[in-house]
Amino acid sequence: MDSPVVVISDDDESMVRLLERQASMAGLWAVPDLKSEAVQLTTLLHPAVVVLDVFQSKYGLDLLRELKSDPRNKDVDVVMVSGIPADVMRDSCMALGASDFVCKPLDATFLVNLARRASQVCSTRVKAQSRRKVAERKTADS
Amino acid sequence: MPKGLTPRLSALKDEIEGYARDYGLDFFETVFEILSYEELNMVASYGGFPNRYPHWRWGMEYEQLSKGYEYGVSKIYELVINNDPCYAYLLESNAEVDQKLVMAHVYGHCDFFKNNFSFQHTNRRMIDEMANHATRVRRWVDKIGVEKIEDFIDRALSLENLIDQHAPYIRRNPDPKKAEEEAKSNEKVEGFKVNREYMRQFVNPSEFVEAQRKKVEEEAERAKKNFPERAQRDVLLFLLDHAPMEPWEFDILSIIREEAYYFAPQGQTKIMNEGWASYWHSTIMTQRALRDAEVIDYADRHSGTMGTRPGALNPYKLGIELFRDIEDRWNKGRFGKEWDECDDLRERRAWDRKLGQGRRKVFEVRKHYNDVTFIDTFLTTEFALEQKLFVYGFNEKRNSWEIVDREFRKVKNKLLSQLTNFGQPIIEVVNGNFENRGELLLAHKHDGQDLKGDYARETLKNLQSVWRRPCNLVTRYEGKGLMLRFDGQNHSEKKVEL
Repeated sequence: MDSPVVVISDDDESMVRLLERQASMAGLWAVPDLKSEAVQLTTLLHPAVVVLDVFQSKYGLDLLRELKSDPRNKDVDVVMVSGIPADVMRDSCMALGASDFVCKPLDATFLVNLARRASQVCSTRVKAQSRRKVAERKTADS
Repeated sequence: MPKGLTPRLSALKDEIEGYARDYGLDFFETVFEILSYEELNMVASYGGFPNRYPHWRWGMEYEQLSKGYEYGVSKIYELVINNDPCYAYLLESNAEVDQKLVMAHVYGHCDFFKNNFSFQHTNRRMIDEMANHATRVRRWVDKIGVEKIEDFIDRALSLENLIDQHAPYIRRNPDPKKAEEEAKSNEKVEGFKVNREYMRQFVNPSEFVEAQRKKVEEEAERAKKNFPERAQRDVLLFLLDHAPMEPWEFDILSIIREEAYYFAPQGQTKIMNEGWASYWHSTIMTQRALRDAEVIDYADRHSGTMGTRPGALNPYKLGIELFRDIEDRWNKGRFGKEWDECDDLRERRAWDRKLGQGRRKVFEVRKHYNDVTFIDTFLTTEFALEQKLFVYGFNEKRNSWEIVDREFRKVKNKLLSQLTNFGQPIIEVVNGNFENRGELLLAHKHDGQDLKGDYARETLKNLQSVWRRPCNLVTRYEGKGLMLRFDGQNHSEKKVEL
């Protein structure tokens, strides 16, 4: 099975490179995004998870809203990341459809959870795909 | 985890924000959050940020703040972060009048952060950046070990003030490509301008042109030999560029440097920033926001903030009084040639040209000045007399601290010397290959204040551990030239000619 794809979106290059390296070590295929192009990348790659930093060249909450408003990306898991550990921030992210909100600093637990979430998404997708194929075959047989 | 505002506080915030905007304050969107006193102390001990890299000194500062609060010695009312949006923390247990005062004060700070020239180069997403730094340092801790990392951070922190406070405004290190082009164009020696071609031999004889060319070449050659080409005040940058560091050491030192540059403007504008915020909380509260029942409590809090301990300088008090003085002077036209040349005390006392330019002037001042230029320009003799400013010192004969001088010029100079370079000594890298042995030579620009011997030695030791080769520092001690040296094992010193 191919590695699950994860888009990492942040404008701090050292952070993106660090996460990219660690994600690759955790068996994920990390796609870095330094220019707030998470929406385009998601549409193109349909990743298992998008890691979206709140403060980047384009405001993270706007990116999330844009991403979720596209029907093709509606179901993509988005993990929001921020340096501000505030209830208000978490609530706004969750209200816009984020799957999780993680406060920086990001540690090893974050990557473990990310890998788990990504592989879960992938296996759900594979299952759904095989179910769809079975259903298609059944309709063809009948 | 910080909480959002209650509906009541949210309504108060809207009210105070409305007043602030009416007065012409211009600030980033400001997000208020509520913290318990333990949480506020936690954030405050992190230098105002919710997340910082791990280091023992945060714990130490937290203990200090907590003890201060528990014993009733000190209390933090608010915290505000220079960020876009601005984040401000309110203390949960504060009374309503305190929250109003704090909000008005915070809007003053936010306006200052957004508009004062010193902050124009700061990272406005620093909350996030600090948290990223925390992630990076934690990663190194996991990889290298906490002992080594903490030890290096300790050493790096003792060097953090060796930055160029004015670097964001001056290009001291020109673009290398441009510099090369400029040098090439300078290489052509043409001598003096000649209007008539037949005069050339007389105005610029060939021997003269040749001598000039040689001189230019020699200078270029000498510059090439110097390393760095010119003295470099940003010692940390020099170390990052040239010291043989491990990748983790490089990363951590660059984090410390970046944070030092972020905090530098706050050190350079402490008096102005606090003065401006106090000016506005006072104006907004007394003119608009204060209810009758709150007057006494407000007066108590305000006077508590403005109170000056004997022998210490309160930046809130000095700042607010200077801003008020500027407003008053520009309202009455007490500036300019006519005012300066007026010797008649009676006339000066009654001077009022009814210009009404005060408010406009204070807004202009908050934009274009820092503490040094603010004090230098606006601290007048009248102001010093009115505020009873003086220089104090220790009288050994009487074994007590007492007023040494009330003379205006001395008071002002003392104040300015405390503020120049944020009160830190100015130290430059002069030679990175001293005596052709790869040693580091630093020079202290003496400004009347000798270096503290133990601090200097300790810093030199830390510098040596980063540079890996012996480090030398030339300074002036008790009027004589002195070179301090640490070779990795021992400290030594010798007299030098300055």
